[in-house]
Amino acid sequence: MAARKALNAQQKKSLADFRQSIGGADEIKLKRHQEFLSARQAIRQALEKQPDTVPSLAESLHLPSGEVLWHIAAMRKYGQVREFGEMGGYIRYGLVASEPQKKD
Amino acid sequence: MIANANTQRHVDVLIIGGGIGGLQAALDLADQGYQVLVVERRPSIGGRMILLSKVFPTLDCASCITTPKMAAAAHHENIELLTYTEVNSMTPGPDGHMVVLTRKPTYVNTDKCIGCRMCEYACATEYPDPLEEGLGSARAISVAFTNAIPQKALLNPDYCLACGLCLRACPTDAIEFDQQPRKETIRADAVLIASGFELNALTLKPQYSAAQSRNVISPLTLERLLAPHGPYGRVLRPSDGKIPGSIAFVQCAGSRDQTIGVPYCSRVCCMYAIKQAMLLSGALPTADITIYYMDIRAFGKGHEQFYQNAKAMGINFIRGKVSRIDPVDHDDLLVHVELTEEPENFLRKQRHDLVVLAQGMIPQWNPSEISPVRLGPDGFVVTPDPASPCATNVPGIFVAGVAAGPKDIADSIAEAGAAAMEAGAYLYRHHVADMHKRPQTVALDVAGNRAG
Repeated sequence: MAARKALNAQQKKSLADFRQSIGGADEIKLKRHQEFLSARQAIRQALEKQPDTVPSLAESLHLPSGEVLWHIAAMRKYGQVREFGEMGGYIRYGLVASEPQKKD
Repeated sequence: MIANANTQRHVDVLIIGGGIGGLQAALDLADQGYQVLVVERRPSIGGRMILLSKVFPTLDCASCITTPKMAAAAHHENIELLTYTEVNSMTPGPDGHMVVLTRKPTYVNTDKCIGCRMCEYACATEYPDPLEEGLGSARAISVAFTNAIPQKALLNPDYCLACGLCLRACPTDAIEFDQQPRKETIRADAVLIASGFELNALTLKPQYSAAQSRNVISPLTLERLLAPHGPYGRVLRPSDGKIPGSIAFVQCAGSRDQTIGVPYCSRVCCMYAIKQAMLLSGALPTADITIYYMDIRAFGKGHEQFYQNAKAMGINFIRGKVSRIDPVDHDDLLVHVELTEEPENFLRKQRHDLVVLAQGMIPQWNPSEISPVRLGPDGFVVTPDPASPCATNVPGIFVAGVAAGPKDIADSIAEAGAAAMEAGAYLYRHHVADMHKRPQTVALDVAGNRAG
């Protein structure tokens, strides 16, 4: 991941103005984002234990199976999960093993 | 706030719509030396076709046909592309058509953005991607899709948390949070409408239960499922990720039906259903695939043979009208169909994992709201002169593709070529009065390639 830059004064001001113009990170957006993060984290933690199918994940995490599939599709798009074969007519998904960190 | 730009530019032809029809017309006109401006409302050109899997009846890769045309238009010296831009008004006058545009803010400086996606990778929030029919995700700042043109990021303020992560990640300082919508006025000698189509609502017929089940899907959703770069990378049903073992196509689910205001035939549903059924039988070799139809309209070149091939592949064609679809246990669907080929009509109930509704094609855009262009009772642009089939009722405004009526890709491309020719002839007649305005012809070598 690239190093994150510090923002200059002009960038900070334009970001603050933009935040105000879009109503900021209002309650609806924050609630939606928190739900998104909590579901994504729960799925990631479940997959850390073992690869699993969408209905099984949905049952154990008490989430709608369509929502779990959406998260899995997103994680697959960004290279975080991959397929681990099939089970009972469903795909088993598991986390992509992280690359070993280079030592200096 | 919308900033009013004082600049007023002139182009020979302004084309509304950057889909396959608009791009074909743009290339044909630009090759004749005309200066063309293509206006597209989405973040990328390519229209619907770039999102399809394959085309009928050849089963060629849709992306492989569209991408070279997108690239050719993007690199053509006589074509300018304005994406993420809406047309506000179109007024004919003695000096051409005055077209007012609004360039929506992308919050990214397109001159600085190098399409590296570092902003997208840094972004912390996601939402259902409309380009993936909601099945996949997009981040609040992202490049529209892998082969999008322009390959530039765009920020969605509806989902952005203004956290600034993208700003910190961008290596070229391309993100500009202070962008505003910007108006621009174009004077165009001719306008060509190629604004394409959308499908009528999946929930239009409540008896088909699309509101109750995620497994009642649109044909464009199935296109994304079949595309190799689709949201799941394979065909799964959206409710729970099951590999579907039984799939049904319900034809005429949004067309040829007075009760929903679409009495006409959408002309492409029979063939794309057959194409999708064939692709499904390749992707899911053990799946049972059924097409419920009123009659199969395979009228184009090679279409009848395509239909016969599908039957030979084992796809079930059942003639009848589906009256109801009920969600049942395990997210399955029970299709009630009245068979019309039996000696005596009778009802059958069949259980399926996934149902595709052939929705009707309706125009994507209504030009009559902002211009004198006339529409027919079906909402498509009227072409009053049979001897000039791409000319509208307004001199200098032409139409091509589905904006003029439902048609398939091949017919849309052919009509776009015809519209470009009619527009070129119109421009030439107008340019003759001023020889200095005559377009520079493009030199071609013996193989027909642009020389130099």
